[in-house]
Amino acid sequence: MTLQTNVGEITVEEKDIVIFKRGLPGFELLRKFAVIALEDTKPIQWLVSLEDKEVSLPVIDPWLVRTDYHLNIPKNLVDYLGITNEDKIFILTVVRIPDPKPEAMTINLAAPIIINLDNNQAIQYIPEKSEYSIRHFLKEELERSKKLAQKKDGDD
Amino acid sequence: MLILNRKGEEEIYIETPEGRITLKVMGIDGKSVKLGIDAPKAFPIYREELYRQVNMENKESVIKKESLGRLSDLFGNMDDKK
Repeated sequence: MTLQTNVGEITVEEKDIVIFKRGLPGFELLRKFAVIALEDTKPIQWLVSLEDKEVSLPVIDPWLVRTDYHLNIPKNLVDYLGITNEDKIFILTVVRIPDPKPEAMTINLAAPIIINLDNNQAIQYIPEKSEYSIRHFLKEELERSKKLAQKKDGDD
Repeated sequence: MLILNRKGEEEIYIETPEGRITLKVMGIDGKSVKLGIDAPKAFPIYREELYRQVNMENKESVIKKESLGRLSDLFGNMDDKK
């Protein structure tokens, strides 16, 4: 299907539709989404609702931002998403881009989006306790990851 | 809203198409009530304030059509710095 959205015209094949069975917090009635990569906004991708053209959220691979990011997926969530193959788990984190100060963008590392690529079932996971916050400044995280890499190089 | 009185150790059953949710009063300490919850495995459970935070953050993250153009500029700049 081809549709007009806030990130432009997109074409999505049936097999690429991601299903949030219980919606996304804030958008509980929206179930069908697609992850769209736009050349102009790389490495940020877009979680685009296929049911409400006004709803598109920027998302990013958390490891691009925090190289030592880690996440434990609890058993009940493994069951919820029907995960049978760990290699088919796809993780994204939601980015908040303030307008008019987009350079102050933040990443929600506390509540990642988990997609099972085997069946395209997805959920935004809100852990009871997380070492991360829902607002990490992208700038600070990139600095931190850079330092971490330098330290590692120094150790080697 | 259905309001029920429960004492310590007492339970409430909520029957759903996907199975039973059991709420149990585990203990009461001053103003705080400790609840135990048994639910079918496919039921995510959240503290309301935590869920609300993520809910609000998601709503704030939704991109406006007119902002997208400015973003391209921003990422263009990021590439230049590399």
